[in-house]
Amino acid sequence: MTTNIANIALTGLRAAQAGLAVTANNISNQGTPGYSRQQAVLQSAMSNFSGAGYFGQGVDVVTVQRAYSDFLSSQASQSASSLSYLSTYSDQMSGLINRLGSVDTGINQSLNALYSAMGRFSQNPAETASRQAALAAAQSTAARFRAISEDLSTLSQGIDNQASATVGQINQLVQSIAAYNAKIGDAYGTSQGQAPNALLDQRDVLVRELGKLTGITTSTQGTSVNVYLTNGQPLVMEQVASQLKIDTRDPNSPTGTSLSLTVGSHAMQLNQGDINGGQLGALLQFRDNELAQAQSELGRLAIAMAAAYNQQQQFGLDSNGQPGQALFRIGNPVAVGQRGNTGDARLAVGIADTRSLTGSDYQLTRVGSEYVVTRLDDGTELGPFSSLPQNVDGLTIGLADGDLADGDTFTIKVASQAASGVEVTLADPGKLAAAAPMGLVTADTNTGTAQASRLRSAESGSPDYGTSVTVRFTSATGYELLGEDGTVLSTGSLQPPQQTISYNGWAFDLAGIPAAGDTITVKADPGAPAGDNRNALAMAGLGTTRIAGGSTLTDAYAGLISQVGTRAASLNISKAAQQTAFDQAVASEQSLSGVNLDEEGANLLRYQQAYAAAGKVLGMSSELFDQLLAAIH
Amino acid sequence: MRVSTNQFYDNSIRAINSQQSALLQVSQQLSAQRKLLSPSDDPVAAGREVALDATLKANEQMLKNQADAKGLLEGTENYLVEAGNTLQQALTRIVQAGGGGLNEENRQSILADLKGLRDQLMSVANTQDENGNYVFAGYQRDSQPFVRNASGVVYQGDAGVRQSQIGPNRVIDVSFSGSYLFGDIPTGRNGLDASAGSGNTGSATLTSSTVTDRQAWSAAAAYGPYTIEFGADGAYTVSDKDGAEVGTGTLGEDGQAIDIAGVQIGFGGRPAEGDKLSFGPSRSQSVFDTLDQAIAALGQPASETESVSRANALYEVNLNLNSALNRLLEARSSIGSRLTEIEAATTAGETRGTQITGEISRVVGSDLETMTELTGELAKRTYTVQAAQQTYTQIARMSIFNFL
Repeated sequence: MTTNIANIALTGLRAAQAGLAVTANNISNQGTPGYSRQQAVLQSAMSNFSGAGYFGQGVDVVTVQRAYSDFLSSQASQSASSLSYLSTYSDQMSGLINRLGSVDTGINQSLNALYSAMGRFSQNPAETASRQAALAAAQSTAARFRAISEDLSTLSQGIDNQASATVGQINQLVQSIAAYNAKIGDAYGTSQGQAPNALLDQRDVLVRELGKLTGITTSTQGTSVNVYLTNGQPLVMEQVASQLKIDTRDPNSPTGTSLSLTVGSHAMQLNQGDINGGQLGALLQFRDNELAQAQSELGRLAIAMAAAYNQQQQFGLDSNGQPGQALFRIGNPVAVGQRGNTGDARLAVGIADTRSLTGSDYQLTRVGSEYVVTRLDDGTELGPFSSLPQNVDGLTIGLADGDLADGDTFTIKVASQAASGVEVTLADPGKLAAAAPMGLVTADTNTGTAQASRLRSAESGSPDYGTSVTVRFTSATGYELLGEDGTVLSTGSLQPPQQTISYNGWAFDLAGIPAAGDTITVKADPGAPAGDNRNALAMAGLGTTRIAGGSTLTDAYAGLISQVGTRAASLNISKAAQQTAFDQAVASEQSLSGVNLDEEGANLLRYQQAYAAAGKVLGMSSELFDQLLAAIH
Repeated sequence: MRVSTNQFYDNSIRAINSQQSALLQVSQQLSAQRKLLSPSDDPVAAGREVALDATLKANEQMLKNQADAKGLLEGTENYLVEAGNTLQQALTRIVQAGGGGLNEENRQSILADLKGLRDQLMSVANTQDENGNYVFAGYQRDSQPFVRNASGVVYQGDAGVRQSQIGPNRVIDVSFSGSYLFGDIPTGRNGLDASAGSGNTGSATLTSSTVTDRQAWSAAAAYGPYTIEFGADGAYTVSDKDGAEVGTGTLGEDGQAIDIAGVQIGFGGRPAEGDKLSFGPSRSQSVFDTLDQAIAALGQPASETESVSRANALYEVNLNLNSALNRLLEARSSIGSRLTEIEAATTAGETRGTQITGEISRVVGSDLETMTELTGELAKRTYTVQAAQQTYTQIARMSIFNFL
């Protein structure tokens, strides 16, 4: 019986020692990232049967278990991934809004200065100083457009670099996870099914880190963790790692960047949206959506400005009485072939006439032997054309080399690079066109409410500013154009809301409703450059004219800032909410798995006392043996 | 719930961080003197600020334009006053000349005066602004508008009128062309022009020409000028511009007026047989031609016939000069109403500017109320940060190991 007591005491000593060792390990790893607190799992030892019943044989240390919940851990990983996505997105948005500028740094200040300089110019059209100031203001507005566009491009390049670096990190993590899968499998094998807690913790850390970089889903297969992209493509299958590749100079991608995934020896192209969530998802989505949109909006502003000023400037007469030349030019459109095009065409797209640009993007498709151009804003089909190049809405669309095969499609992005190339084409202030070749005369006898304004130039093969034309309304929407001798030159009808009448290279806007019989004459009335300020007045008036899709340029710019600001603000809110969700998930996880030093301290005392007690039992059993020996002597 | 030690430290540190960043935000707002620091703080306000700022700048530009337009119009008015005075003096002298009892000495002195006044008016009409541009040349401001050649004074400018934008939808004229002010002056009065034949030998001198029936005259005017030709014993025939006879009559014993086609032509003296009077719709004539006409009439020596023809010429000159004066008055009164409009626009624009400025400061939060609010916020935030720091240090001191 006594040897039995000593044995039982020994198991107690061993158990207490195990408890102390686990506690010491917990205390040491208190600050280790991803560490799950461990516990020694004890079980009472197999009892011995005697006639008097079963006597316990002490305690067995069964295993060391980590305090871990799959559910809590994956919840924390999920929210870490979402938080990483939102905070990357939100940081980028802040960068974007700062670059687009506030009231002091944006385009609006340059535009205001331009309006004011044009105002002075209209008051003193013959004064060289005021002409010079107007031209300088136009130049500085162009420079501001370019600077902001340049800032946005820098942002875009920064994102390319960051995305490349992130792809590198992802590949490393993916390989590590595959390696850990192998190690963990081995560890289970050699330990006959005992869990390698430290390795499991470390693999969990890697999977969570990967989730922060890109959205993933996971599944367990045996002792391995399999990791997939959100579209289901595998990143890690047991011990096999796939490889992600990024190409930042892909001519067939609308954004210039494409991703591909190599699984084993098979490479596959990833589409936009295949990478979802995480830092990489945030970077790509931000660049493809927000940044591209901001670039295009800015480009559309540049186009609206260039078109409106050129329409006016090319209508007027400069200080030598010569027809005005374009004031602004803008950056060239970009053509991107669709992946899957089979032809070898490279497009050459240029700007034929700034005045006719709409700001919309276009699509060129070959249908059979013909080419169809679609204006993407409103879906209008232009053409079909039997050959290229063609002039469409102020663009020339031609082939640099090769040709499209049937069904090939190109997207022509007009606005995306427009702002980066805004420049003033005039160098001589005398070339600003202050005088007008024609004037609007509204008949005194008109009974309708129609008012004509903004007589300007329009793209035309045969502009004629030397012949008066009278617009006679035949109804509230119908009109006919009469020549100087009263012959009907052409007829037309107004299509509200766009009420523009154009002919012979001139155009004017109409507000109100004309009555049948009302006339408005576009009268050939060339003004002397020395004193005529009609065209300069019209240019000065562009500041308060709704030339940018129904609003003034400054209002459109204010709208852009509001729009981007609203996105940034809503992302900030989502980020704050996600931060709270993340904190809660981590709190739940930590509540289970985290080390509490006070708790470990208490355990330390407990195991110390258990050890002392077991020691006492051992001592007592030896005392009992001594007493027995003494009794025998 | 179990709390892990890490979590406890992390949470406390995060609390301090977020409190500090809130404190920093308030202190930045205070040092920038505005609540809106980044468009994402309040996107609607940021957009609104840009739009309001543009409105403010446009308003300032309009105020500048208004001041410019006001200056131009006031300058023009001064010239018009000068031109009016000159014409008034000329008219006074012409009335004196027509007053009868004009001796040779007076005639010479009036003649000299008129020549001087004509040159003076010419110099007003050719006024140049501070940049050397001709004010009354229409659009052709780089060349002298009124030039004398063999046939008299000709206008070389055009009818262009300079405009200025004084409101978002309001453009006003800020100049007058020389042709309007001096060149194209309607002759006669009320659309009726009368003159006596140059070869008249009788003593008939025009004394009045009035439209008595406006309707009849406006129907008849298109067939003018009409000629009244006198026969013997006061008989007369009236024919239109094509020579068609439209009426005949005989002057009474003391009949000094002829009524026909809605007009009455009055004259003194007695026409001789073969004398002619003519009347017709107003033509347009330059004020310089009128003055030349007066000077030519006064340049004639004072014989009996000459004085009748001079009186008739001066009659016409008198009406034409009055017409020219009326044109100047008309221009001045239109300047007056434009100046009133500009002043109203300026007052409204200044008020609007103040309003917009106020609105901007409310939108971006740079008004007094927001600043007061922010100052209070700063004190609160400072206190919160201190509290978080204190809590952290207090709780961090607690550990079971202190007692082991």
